[in-house]
Amino acid sequence: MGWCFCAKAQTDSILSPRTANYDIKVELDIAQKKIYGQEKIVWKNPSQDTVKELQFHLYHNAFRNTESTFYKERGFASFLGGKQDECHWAWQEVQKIVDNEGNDLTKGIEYIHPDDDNEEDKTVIRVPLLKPVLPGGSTTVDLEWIGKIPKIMPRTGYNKEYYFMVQWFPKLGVYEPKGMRYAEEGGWNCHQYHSIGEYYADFGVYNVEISVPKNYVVGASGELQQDTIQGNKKIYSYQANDVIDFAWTASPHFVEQRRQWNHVDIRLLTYPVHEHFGVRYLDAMEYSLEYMSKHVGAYPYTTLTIVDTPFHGIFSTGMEYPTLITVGSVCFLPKGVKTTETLAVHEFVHQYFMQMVATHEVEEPWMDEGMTTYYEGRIMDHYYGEQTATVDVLGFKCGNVVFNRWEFFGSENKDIADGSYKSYEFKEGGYKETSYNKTAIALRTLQGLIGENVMDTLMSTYFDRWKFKHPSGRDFIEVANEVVQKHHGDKFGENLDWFFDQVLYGSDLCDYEIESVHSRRLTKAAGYVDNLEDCAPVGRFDGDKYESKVTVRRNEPLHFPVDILVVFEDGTTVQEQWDGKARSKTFRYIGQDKVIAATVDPEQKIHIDKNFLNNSFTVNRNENGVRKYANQFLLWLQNSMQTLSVLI
Amino acid sequence: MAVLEAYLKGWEALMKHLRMWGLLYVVNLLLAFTAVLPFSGLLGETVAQSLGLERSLDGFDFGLLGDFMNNYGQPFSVVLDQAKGGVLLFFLASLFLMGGVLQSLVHSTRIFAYYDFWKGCGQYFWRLVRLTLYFFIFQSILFLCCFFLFQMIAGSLSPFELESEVPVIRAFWIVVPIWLSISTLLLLIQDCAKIRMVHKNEFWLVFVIRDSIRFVLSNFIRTYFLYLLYALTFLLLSFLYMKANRLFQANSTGTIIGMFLLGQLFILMRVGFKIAILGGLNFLYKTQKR
Repeated sequence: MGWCFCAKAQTDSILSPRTANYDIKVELDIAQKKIYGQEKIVWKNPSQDTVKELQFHLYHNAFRNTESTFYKERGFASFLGGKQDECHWAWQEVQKIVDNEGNDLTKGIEYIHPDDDNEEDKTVIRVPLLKPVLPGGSTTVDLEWIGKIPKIMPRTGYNKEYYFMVQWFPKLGVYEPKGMRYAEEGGWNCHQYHSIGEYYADFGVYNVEISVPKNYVVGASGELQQDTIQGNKKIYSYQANDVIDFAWTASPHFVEQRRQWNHVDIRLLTYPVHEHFGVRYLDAMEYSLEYMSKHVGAYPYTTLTIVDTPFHGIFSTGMEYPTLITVGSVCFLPKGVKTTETLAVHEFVHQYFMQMVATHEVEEPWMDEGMTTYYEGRIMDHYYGEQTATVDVLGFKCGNVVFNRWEFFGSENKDIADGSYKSYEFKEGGYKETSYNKTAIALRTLQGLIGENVMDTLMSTYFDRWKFKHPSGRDFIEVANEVVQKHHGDKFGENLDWFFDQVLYGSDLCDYEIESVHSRRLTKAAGYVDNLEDCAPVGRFDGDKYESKVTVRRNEPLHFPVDILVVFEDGTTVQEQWDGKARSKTFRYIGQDKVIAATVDPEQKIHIDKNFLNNSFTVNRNENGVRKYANQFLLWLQNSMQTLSVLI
Repeated sequence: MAVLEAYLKGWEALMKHLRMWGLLYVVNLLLAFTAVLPFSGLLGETVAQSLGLERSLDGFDFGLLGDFMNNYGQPFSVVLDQAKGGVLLFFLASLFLMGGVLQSLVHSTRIFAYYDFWKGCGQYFWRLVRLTLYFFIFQSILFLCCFFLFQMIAGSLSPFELESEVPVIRAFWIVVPIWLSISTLLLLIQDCAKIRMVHKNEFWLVFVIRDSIRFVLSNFIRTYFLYLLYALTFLLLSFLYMKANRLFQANSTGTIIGMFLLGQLFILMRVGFKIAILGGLNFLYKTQKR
């Protein structure tokens, strides 16, 4: 008999609809690299439909052979061809499935391919029920299954003595009632496993018993209820409430570090060589918990497990599962390179965006990856510095938000696709740029326009309304419209559709520029002005007045309302507003002082503007700036020349 | 003592050839300017009137750098290509001028004379090209050997086959010092070969290299120590340069000029180092057994 590490039971209140509930017993066979599982599922019909079949994901069948949709899309990984004596491939077979009346449903199992016509893909099955599930009713099925564990496959599998088990059990798809997300009729949403794209599942309670060799340390979603030793085996019992998935890991080499943050028991598992990263990971987790709780909503779970994957387990690095995330680092990484913290923060934020607000990762990847990247930037820059959150080494400094922006605008695929793409539709690239970078930049732009406080209200309202549910992009936009309307009235029009249509569902770019700043001394009118006798000559000055013109130009199709800050010779400033829709606009000023500089979007609210350098214009050329960088370039070049000449 | 004497003689030789030193520095500066001028023009055309540039004077600004590279990366790549051309041209020019440097150091008993210098440039050019090529091949072979050694010690470079990254780090710390030591030895032999080639006016470089290896091995402590002494001086100078560089916040005309002068002083010293090393080795060559 072991111990229960958390005195408090996991929250007693029911947080989610608990549609799909699993009791699983699994045994890890390290010799055969197999798992043997028994699973009892209680599924509640959330619709007004009579459901006549169940649909399951068998994700590990994606690694069955080269004919799966996963491999046809991805191509054969070169590192798998290395050792011929080892079989890296995997499979998952349901041996038996019976309903609660004891009817054997096994014979009815059929592989289906809802996304393509690939007959060889075996990642989704349908199981016809002998007794249909009535509206609001429930059914219970018992499954027995065996899985061969993949070696070094994306996100899951084993290598050496490290096991990372995700999407490891036959898992129900989501039955979407009519009107939920984009469903026009009730039906199963159960995609095949694609090369790009992750998961979508219903909330439920997971009771999982994991049997491993007794020297293995296990980390898993949820709370450890007990661990018992039976002969050579150790059985860990976990319970995870109101989650959409259950993941676990095992290795005899894990060492553990813990920290308590309010009600959350943070547990870090690393290999011994990475123990020294403990403080960095745990600090990052504390910061993230604190920030997200304050700005978005409370983290309701009592545990959080961080798995620092070993070097040979990097295939599983950077993933997120309910109350369990994976991170990675390398020993020689200097403290100033904060990829360690960045990854940890990113994966943690996923606890909110797609674990609790369970969006569809395959159909709308921007909703989880983009929102997570947005908060990753906010958290990292807040705690590690706007100029130093990503790198701070030998004078080279870079913040997280600025890095994300540079990454997006520097990519070739920045305008190849838009947010309406499903993850597997990014066939020509652009998945990362569109789903991660661009969405974060778009949300940052929205924050700039509506203000940080209103943005916080928007996101916390969205979280509060949609946690433990399955929102679509449309639902998020609805919340945005409501919150912005409440705080800003009609300032941004009837709604924000114009904004989201451009930045999420469009692929155009944005660039505002101060095209020119001109001033000239005013002259009096020439010719017959006062009477028909006296001809006034050209060039008579009208006192000491100047006419100044500032021309702002929109170089790309995207348009936003922008501010323009105009600076006069005497130091006074004028702030103008422009709806930003026309190609260009000229502002004219008459006064004693000339305009010496102007900046469009001076607070850099329009984060999606691809070039901040041309946002400002000063009539006095900055010769020192040119000299500084020319001098640096000169020295770099001279040193390069001298270094190469060592070879002579 | 012989090493210290040779070290000082090297610097003495440099002082005797101030005009040669200045000439090499001017070539470096002029060729660098061929790429810096278009770069300066590019900055002037694109960002000189941006307030962003003004803000960046107060310190490193990744946002500015990122926007510059993302929006003006194409014209900048043309400037970079020109810079690569400048580096290559300087390499060829250095090959040519090296003959003159050697001629002046080895044969000149009086102070620097342009006649001797240009004569040496023409006389030894092709031999220096061949010698450089041979040693480039040796260095490449050494690099490959070290890479294989690195792989052997690490066990594998595939993360999937390694228990942890520790073997890779360990292999790095073992192999890099070995590589640096042997590479330095090769550079030393190459410098000795150049001196011997000019001393004997030998055409067949195989014999020159063979004899230089013999010379270095029979005077290993002296020659290698002399080289290390120069290397340490260079490291010290680089450290001082970096420290001094940090004193300037390049945000005004005065500090920018200060940084420029400091940088040029450093380059001037780098150019001088090469002459001093050859001068020191030349002294050792003349005084030690061959």
